[in-house]
This record gives sequence, structure tokens and C-alpha cells, in this order.
Amino acid sequence: MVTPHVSEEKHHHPNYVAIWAVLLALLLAGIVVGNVQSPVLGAALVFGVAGVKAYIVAANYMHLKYEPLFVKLIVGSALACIVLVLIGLIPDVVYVYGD
Amino acid sequence: MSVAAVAIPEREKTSLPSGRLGMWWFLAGELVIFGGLIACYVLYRLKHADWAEHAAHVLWQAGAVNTIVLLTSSLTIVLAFRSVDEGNYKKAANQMALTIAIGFLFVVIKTFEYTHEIQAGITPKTNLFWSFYFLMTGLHALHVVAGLVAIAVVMIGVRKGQNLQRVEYVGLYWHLVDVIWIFLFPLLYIASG
Amino acid sequence: MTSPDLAVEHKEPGFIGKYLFSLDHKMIAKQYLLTGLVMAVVGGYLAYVFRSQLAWPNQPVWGYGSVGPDKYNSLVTLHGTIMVFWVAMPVLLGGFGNFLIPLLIGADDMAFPRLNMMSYWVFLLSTVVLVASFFVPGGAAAGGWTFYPPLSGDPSYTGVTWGGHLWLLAVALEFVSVLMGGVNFLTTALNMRAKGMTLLRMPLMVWMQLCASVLFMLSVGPLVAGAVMLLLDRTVGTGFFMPKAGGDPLLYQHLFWFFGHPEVYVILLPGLGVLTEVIPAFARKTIFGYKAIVYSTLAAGALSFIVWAHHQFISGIDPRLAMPFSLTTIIISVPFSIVIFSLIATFWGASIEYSSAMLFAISMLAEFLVGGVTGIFNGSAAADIYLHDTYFVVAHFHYTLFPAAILAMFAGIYYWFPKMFGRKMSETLGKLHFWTTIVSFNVIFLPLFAIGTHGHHRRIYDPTQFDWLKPFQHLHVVATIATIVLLLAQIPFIVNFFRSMFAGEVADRNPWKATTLEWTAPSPPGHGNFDRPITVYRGPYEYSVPEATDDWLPQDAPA
Repeated sequence: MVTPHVSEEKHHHPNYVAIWAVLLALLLAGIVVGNVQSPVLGAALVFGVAGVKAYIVAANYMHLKYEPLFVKLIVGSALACIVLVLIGLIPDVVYVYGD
Repeated sequence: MSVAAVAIPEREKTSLPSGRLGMWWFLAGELVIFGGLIACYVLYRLKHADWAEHAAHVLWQAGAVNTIVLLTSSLTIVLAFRSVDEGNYKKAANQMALTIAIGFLFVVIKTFEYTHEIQAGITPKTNLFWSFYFLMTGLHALHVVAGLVAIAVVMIGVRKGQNLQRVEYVGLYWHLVDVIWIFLFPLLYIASG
Repeated sequence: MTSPDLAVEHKEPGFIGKYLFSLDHKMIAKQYLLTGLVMAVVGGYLAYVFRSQLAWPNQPVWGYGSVGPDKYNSLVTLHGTIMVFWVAMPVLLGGFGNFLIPLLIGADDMAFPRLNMMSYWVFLLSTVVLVASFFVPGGAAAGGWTFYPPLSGDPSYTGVTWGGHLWLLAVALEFVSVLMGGVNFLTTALNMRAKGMTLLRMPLMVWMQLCASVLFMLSVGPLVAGAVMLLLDRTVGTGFFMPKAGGDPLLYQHLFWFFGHPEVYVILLPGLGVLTEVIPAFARKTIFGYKAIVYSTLAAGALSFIVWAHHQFISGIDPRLAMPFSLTTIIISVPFSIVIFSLIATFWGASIEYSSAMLFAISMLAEFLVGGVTGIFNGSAAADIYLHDTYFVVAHFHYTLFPAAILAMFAGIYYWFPKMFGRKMSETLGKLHFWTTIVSFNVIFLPLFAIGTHGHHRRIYDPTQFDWLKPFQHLHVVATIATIVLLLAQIPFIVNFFRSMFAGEVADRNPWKATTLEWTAPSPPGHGNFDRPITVYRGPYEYSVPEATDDWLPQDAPA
């Protein structure tokens, strides 16, 4: 049996504190853009900022950017499934035909 | 009938250690569960424009503080991972203890919020928005508590210098809990449209 | 949190460690297999009771008593639930997956043996919860195996309170168990392969199990969320799926079938995996189109995520969605046709040995073709609007799931029994079992196609109440008698299974002269599986090789 030891592998460690500062700044930005009056633009900005934050955490703290393609595929297909459910159900749940 | 097992000399494998591969697989499973829940919420939210007035009653300041809290705990756990790599197990264990303290603060603030809402007469049955609010934040809070327990278990090992690879795995899980909150915050607290 | 603990414990475990809390993938596989077989008896018994009610309405059923309309719904609900989640999945994934993945790739155990043990114990807990739901006040869940709200969303609608809660809990636990198993399957197949066992040298069974685990994990999430929401609707009184509170029952249907359709392939793929091992071994030929089967399986897996709404053509879905989903549904038959035709092509010019395992494998192909072809009718929206929820659909999915789960399971058991227990099963009893099973199965379900096309709705408790159904009552009687014969036909199997375990002909390492790695290990394999180092030099199905002295080459035969 192979027991993976931490020392076997070289890990990348980006500047975690700087990334944390960026995340806090983005949080502030998210709250500010939440006050945009246009609902469509406001929502797009809010979730755009959330997406960027999530990407930064996944890429750096979770080291996704250093992982092999296979891991990205696992995460990507999970995300694809969620998007599929969301988009596939809009015609039936949100804008119901004939309403 | 027992046959002496032989060592298998070499393996065909991916470049990923089994523990991390299994962990990512588990995280993806969590992701689809939360993602499915979030998708349901978004669909209903788009349908019911009147939820905005209910959403106006959430304590967005508490949510914002909790986001800062959780982001900071993500920082401390990833610093613990770096400390393990540097061979400083004691520092790693302390950073994990700090993570537990910050994570506990999250739970305290969340409890304060729930108390505030229930005292105002808001329950999961008030309206579908509040059903989603309590379900999504409640399920997330359960994950936070589970994460705290897991970090504590791993920390005990790290103090003794055992099972160090688990710091990375428990960290991955903790970051996922953080990422989910990053989406729950705007979904429930910010987007008013 | 799982630790990559050592798989091989070098001390001999005691009775409890060996049979109850075993970390050995082979023992865990046998636990799954036996639990699944016991649940198959329960599920079969339920079918006997409600089929008796259909054939001889309102007569007390021997061995059960009077059925009554309320209990009828519980019986069909639990029959469906048990057969899909507590028979097909534990046997095909938990049983064959656990037993075969490490052996087929030349590993000593699963990547996470402790997680593997936990997955069985969570599964057993789910079984206990489900069985307990029969005995709580109000009886077992009665909302149909799909458990659609609003019928299932409020206990007062079916009159079943605790049975429904326990049903949801049991299904959720079962999902957790399969997810834990899936972590192991994926990690093991990717990281534990013996030297030389490249991905495209893996036996197809491993590919099928892998693909099934991926499909399950990616599709089940939204339904887990939906199940929690439904449980809250039932217990707390929220209205996630209740129209009176602004909820949408159609959303649950979508979540259910977004999982439900890939789930069909979660069951089918390991069933096909059994065939990909059994057919080459008894046809003495290499499998036709190994790569075509691998890529078709992956393509079918991807496509299975965009066909789900074909289960909902009459549920009030957007009519603009009906055409795209009809189209994808018919497209998905293309990759499956490639797999099935490849398996059939393997028989070309083969010297076939009609062993019990091979007979079940061939019959699986034949019966599944009937299921697949009738699926085309259901898949096109225009025909489905007429056929939906009739006995035609019942017959159709029994022609897919019975071959995939039951016939493939028997093929697998007859084939791998010598490896599991070190003894062969009786071929005479096996053939008796085969012919009685296959004839009675067809006699049950062919008549159901007929009454379905005449518009017989599937959830009618007493068909004699309707004048236009009276001419078909004799077909119900035929189907029910065949059901009883089918259940009795399993007696030779049960006798054979347990008698052979102790008194069967002792099997050597490779009784079928098969090429894959499990036959290199002792029968039964000890802890750690292999007694010599394994290196793989060739693909999995090298039969009828001219240069070999014995017409076949095992995967670890040096080049």
C-alpha cells in the first residue's frame, strides 16, 4: 500500500494573506454593487463578484490551479450538471408556457 | 484458507495521491447537492418577484460579518497546511485551533441571527423564501459544525505529528464550505431584485 | 475524512473482524450480495401479493391475507423501491463492484477499506429503516416508487405518516452508502492498478463500474436536496413542492428524473459489464470492439444527463421541451446499440459453451433488446402520451431492468461463484433455474404489453371494476400464475447457491480458462488477493490466440 506522506510531494504556496485581502476587497465590492438599482445589472454584478471570489478560493486555497486536468474535469462536470438543471428547468418552473 | 499477501511492486496510477483524489470526488458530490438546492432556490426566486420584500428582513450586516469570518478561517487553515509543509507541526496545530475558534464565531453569529428572526415571528413556515433561508443556511451550518469536528480530530493528530496529509484534506473541505457561503451570501442577503 | 490506511492487515482477523466488521473488499462484497438477495426475496413476495390481487381481486392472498386498496399502494411502492435501490444497486455495484474492481485491476484491496466497510454498514442501516417502515402505524410508504408530491408531500393524502418519513430516510441513507462506495470505486480503479494495467487494458467491467459511479455521483445531488425539501414538507409543513404554498410539484419530478434516468444506466452498465466478462470467456473469442464499447459507454453516460424529461411528457412540462427530449432519447439508443451489437458480434464464428452463466448472459442480451426496442415507443412524445402510465410502460421497464439487474446478476453469480467460494455451482440445477426463470418471465410481461396497448392504467387496484378492462382479465391471471412460477423457479437457485458453498465441486484457480486477473488469484483469494506479484502485459480478452499453447493468454502472461 502506498501511504502518501506530505513530504513526498512539492506543494505550491501562493501568498495566502494577499489573496485574503483581495477576497475582503471583493466582498466590499459585492455589497456596493448590490445597491445598483437595475435588477438585471445588479444581479449580474453581484453574482459575477461571487463567482470571482469562489474562483480565487478554489484556485489558490484549494490549489485547483495546480491540480491535474482530471480534478478540474470532476469539478467542471459537477458545475455543468448544476447549470444544466438550472437552465433546463427555467421553462417549466419560472416562465411557464401559456401563463 | 489464508494466503500470504505479496507486496505489489509498482502501480499504474494518476499523479494524484488517493486521499486527495477521493477527497475531490467527495467535494464534487457535496457541490452537486448544494448546487441542486441553490438551483431550486434561484428558479423559485426568479418566479416569485414578491420574495424581495421578505428578503429585505434578513440581517445583511450579520451575513457580511460572517463572510469575513469564514474567509478569515479559510486563510488560517491554508496557513496551517503551509506550516505542515514547512515541518512546523506545532504552529500548524495552533493555526488549526485558531480556525476552530473563528469557525465557532461563525456559528455564534448565525445563532444570533436565527434568534433574532424567530423572535420577530419568522419561521420556516412563514413563506417559501424563509423555508429556503432556513434550509440553506441550516444545512450550511451543519457542514460548518461537521468541519469544526473534523478539524479538531485532525488537529489532535497533528500535535503528535501523525496523519499530516489530513490537514490538506480537511482544509479542502473547509474551503468548500467557504465557497458555498460565498454564494449563499449574495443569494439570500444581497440580491434584492 | 478518510485516511489512506494500510489495506493489508497482516494479522488474521477473528470471527467478528472477518464476517461482520470486515475490511476485506471480498467479504464486504459478499455482505452486499447476500443482503441484496434477501431483499430480492422480499421484493418478489410483494410482487406476488399485489399480482394476486390483480388476478383475483378482493380474494384473500395466501400468505398475506386481504390486500385492500390502501395496502395495495404500499405494496407496489415498496416493490419498486426495493428492487431498484435494495436489490439492483447492492448486488451490481456493492456486490460485483466491490468484489471485482480490485481483483480485475490486480490490486490487493480497495483504496479506502474502512470507508468501504462503513458504506456497507450505512447500507445495512438503510435496509433496516426501510424494512421497519412496514411495521410502523399506517404501514409503509404509498406514494409510488417515484414518490411524487403533492401526493407524498402531505401525510394526510395517502394516510401514511411514518412509513413515508422512513422511506425518505432510508433512500437518503442508501444514496450516502452508494456515494461512499463510489469514492472507493473511482480512486481504486485510477490509483491501484497493477503495473502494466493501463486504462485501455482494464476489463470492461471496471469501465462500466467506473462510469456508473460517475453517473450516480453527478446526478444524485439535486435529488438529495429535493428529498430533504420533501421531508421538510412532510414533517415541518413547509411548501417547497406544495402548490398551496407557492411550491411547484413539477420541480420535484424534474429533480427525480434528472437522477432517475442516469440511475437506469447506473444499474444497466454493471449488468452489461457482467456480459463483457462472461461472453468472451464462453465464446472463446476476444470481445468485438473494446474501444468502441468504452467510448460508447462514456458517450451514453454523457447523453443520459439530457434525456430525463422523457419521463414527464404528460406531467404538464413545456410542450416546446418535448421534441428536444424525444430527440436526445432516440439518439441515446445509438451508443447503446453499438455496445449491444459489439456483444452480439462477439458471438460471430465463436465456439460457444452454453454454461449456466452464458445462458443467462445471452438471455440478458435478448430480453434487453425487447426492452430497448419498446423504449423507442415511449421515447417519442407522440406515442408516449398514449402509452404513459399504462402496463405497456410497466412491461417495458421490466424488460430493461429484469435483464440488467436480475439476469445479469445470475450470470455474474454463476460465473464468479467459484472465485467467491472456491467451489462450482451445479450446472444441472443452474440450467433448470435458467429455463424456468426465462420462460416464466416472458409469460408475465408479454401479456402486459398487450393490456397496456389497450389502455390499462398501471395503478388500478381492481381491474374488474371497469367494463372495458374485463376482456383482459384472463391475461392478468396468466401473468400472476407466471409470477408464482418465477418465484418458485428461484428455489433451485437458492438450493444450488447454499449447497454449492459447502458441497460443490472444488474449483481450481481458473475453472473457466478465462484471461482476466481475478483468475490468477487463488480460489477464493486470501487477504491481499494475489499470492505472486502481478504485472500486466496484454489486453483483457486474449482468447483463441494462435501462438498460445492453450488458445488463450492471461493478462499477466509475459509478451
